[in-house]
Amino acid sequence: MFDRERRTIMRKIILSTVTLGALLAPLLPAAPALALNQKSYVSSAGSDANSCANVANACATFGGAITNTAAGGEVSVVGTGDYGTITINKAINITNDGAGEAGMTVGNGLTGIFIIAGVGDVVSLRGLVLDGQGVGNAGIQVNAASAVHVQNCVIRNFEFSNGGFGIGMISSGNTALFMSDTIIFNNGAKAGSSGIVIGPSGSGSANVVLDRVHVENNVIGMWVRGGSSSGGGVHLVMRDSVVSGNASHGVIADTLPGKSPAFIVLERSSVLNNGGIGLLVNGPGATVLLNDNTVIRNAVGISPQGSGQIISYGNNRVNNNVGPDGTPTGSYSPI
Amino acid sequence: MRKILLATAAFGAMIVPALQSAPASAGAPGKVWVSNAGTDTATCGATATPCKTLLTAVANVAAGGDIGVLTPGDYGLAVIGKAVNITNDGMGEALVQPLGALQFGVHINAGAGDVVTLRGLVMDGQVSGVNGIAVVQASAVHVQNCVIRNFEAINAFGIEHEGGQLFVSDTMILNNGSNATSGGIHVYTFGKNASVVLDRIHMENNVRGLWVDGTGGAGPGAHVLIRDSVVSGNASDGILASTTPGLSPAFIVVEHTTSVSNAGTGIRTDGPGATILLNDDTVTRNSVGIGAANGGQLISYGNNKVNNNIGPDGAPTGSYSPI
Repeated sequence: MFDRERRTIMRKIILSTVTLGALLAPLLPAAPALALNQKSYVSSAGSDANSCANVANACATFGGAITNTAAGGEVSVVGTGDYGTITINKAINITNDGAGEAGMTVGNGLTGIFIIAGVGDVVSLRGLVLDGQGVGNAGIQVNAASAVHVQNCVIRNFEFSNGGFGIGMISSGNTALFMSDTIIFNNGAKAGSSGIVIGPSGSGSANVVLDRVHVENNVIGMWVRGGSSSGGGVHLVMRDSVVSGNASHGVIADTLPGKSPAFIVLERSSVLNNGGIGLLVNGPGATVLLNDNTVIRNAVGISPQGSGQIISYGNNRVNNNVGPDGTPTGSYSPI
Repeated sequence: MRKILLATAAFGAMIVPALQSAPASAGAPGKVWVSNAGTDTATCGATATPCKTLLTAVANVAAGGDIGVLTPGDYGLAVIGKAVNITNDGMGEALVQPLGALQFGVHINAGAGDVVTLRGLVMDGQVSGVNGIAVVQASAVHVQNCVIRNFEAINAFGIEHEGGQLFVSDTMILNNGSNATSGGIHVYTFGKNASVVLDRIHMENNVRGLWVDGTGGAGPGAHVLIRDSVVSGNASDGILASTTPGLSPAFIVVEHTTSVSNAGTGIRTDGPGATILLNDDTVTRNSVGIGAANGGQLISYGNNKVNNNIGPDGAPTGSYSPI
């Protein structure tokens, strides 16, 4: 599913970085290098030969701007443009607040935003349109960061023939993802690819909040995987969201015996028209709480398997699926 | 493409061959720009040489590519026969207009596996236009942050959807339609399959608001979900599911939605395969609140507010219990 070769290389890099980081830690609070901007600008009329330091000297690409920006700084979008793919290896904020389309077209098998930052680094991405043009591999791939904030983005058309996913988080550390007001659609090509995949590796764990997210017309909609990690698990809340029209399952929470838990709170969301199971919960540490959802017109509604648990607050609408609607394994009472 | 994927997913871990058509057909750019100051040529589209109209931009861009909007402008109509994404993210008004009477804003008749995106467009029919968006064929059409208004020819609709998946969010659909069988959104499948999700949309002051219509032919039918939306001030019914015996089912889930001040029935089903599920809706100040006729079903989850309509409030035909 992922670019294994690069992942291996990146792992090695981060391992050595972490080692170095431990040695250098006392020095890190020092001010960022003088030549770097606290705030940089990108514009379709800019040039990466510029300093990026103000609108008149804007850079042409996100990559050029990030190079010129201090850790923890900001890259601001001046106007509509196509700003190129990036690797983020430090704390950074990229902000487009209604300046036009801040686009990123991603080529065959490539990744739009690859995040391999340090422990403690926070990355925020706001107002971006990531487009895989039918051949890109990933919109956003998070291999390492403390937290990633994604707001008002579009992630679409990542359909690399040997993979494809909208956003994937496979960190071996403890990483948080906050995503709101974002549309993730038409991602994935291979069976098992997905719109969203949260699957920490090694001893990693993930805390995720998704609010007002649309996950439409991918292969799998959202896959929360505990099975590739032995860490603290994935804990995810999805609320006020729509998971619809995915060719395979809508939402999966799964893990394996002895591996990390996969836990989802799904609330006030609609899961419908998926070609597989609306909500599949599989494995002894896989648990989903259902509060005020509609699960309808999927091939199968809800399906607990392999000792997975689906716990309802008694206020969910699970009807009119094409096959069985399914039933929860347990209930909670509101207090 | 999605149907093939579905079968593959069902059969297990087979690897799907590269299904999508190549994105860049020998030289066609993956991204093409339009600008109010642009010029249409056979090669326009770079940021320095943007196109003037969507017609030319669509012709110049590669299948699966993107059209971006550089400035506010009037970009004419679009005729789409392939996978393409048209995106305006807050650059100002990107207006889509029919070029004459009885024309469309965006006409989509693409391949069965093609996905089309329309984002941030204002489609104005200038009274004589026939459809803001007409979907004849596509795998999926994604519509976000659009305004669709003033398509008022005979049988005009803001959106006419004839099959495949349609996703519409954060979109205003107002003042469309003229005669009794016209209005905001018409899902009319001619025997094909249609799946539709409408989230956070307003349908205001059309003739009919949302009409899911199974009478085009016998087939799997149309299945629609509308949520967190407002259906208000339409001259006829707010939401209607209709079909006739032997023809396609028309199914709607209406949730967290307000149907108010419509001159017909707020939410209505008509025909033996016409079904509407009601979850947490408010239906008020319509001529009639909710109604079912000719075997149509209105199934409530027991949490709907149907009061203070001008005539009868009406009653559901059945109920579901939440689990």
